[in-house]
Amino acid sequence: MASSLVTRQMPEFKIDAYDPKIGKYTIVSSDEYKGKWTAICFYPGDFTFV
Amino acid sequence: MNAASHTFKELGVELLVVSCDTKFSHKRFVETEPLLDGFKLMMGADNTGKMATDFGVYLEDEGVAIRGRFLVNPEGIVLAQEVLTPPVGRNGNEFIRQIEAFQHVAATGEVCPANWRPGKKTLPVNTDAEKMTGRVGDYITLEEILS
Repeated sequence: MASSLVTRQMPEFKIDAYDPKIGKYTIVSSDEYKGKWTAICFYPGDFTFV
Repeated sequence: MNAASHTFKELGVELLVVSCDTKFSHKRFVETEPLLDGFKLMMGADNTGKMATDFGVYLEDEGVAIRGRFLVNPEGIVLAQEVLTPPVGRNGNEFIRQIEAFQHVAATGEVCPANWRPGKKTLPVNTDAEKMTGRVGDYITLEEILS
């Protein structure tokens, strides 16, 4: 496991997702963020604070 | 992070929040937590922990992700990361400051010294590196940095 990703390419991903904007389940992948400024925030779990 | 989502939008930053819960849990969470009233951010469900592992924030024993946040530029390079253990939440304002600084650097090539925020002094572009080595104080004062 890398201790820091800074200066490296963001790891690729493709995972299930929930989009509260439209209230629907979907899938998100790293491809969708190509060419965009992106912030990814991990949190320990639902029903904790984000 | 949700409270700051308007600012992220203004800065043109896509925001994705991720935990190792299921998408069903995400939906339920948004529907029941009063603080998430009006929550609009895409919620990734990394059930297997693979994404969190690849980002270096997976706690295998507990099956959860620690509070890691990553800023990625349009070229897909990670410019900044911050990782906190679960009991302490993040400071959205500091993250926004960093985004503004990185976007300023990307747009101008200028360098943002400590405490920089929009409107504050930057260090010049294309300065002879040797000239500035150990002489940064010729370009910016401590008062200017701390102001």
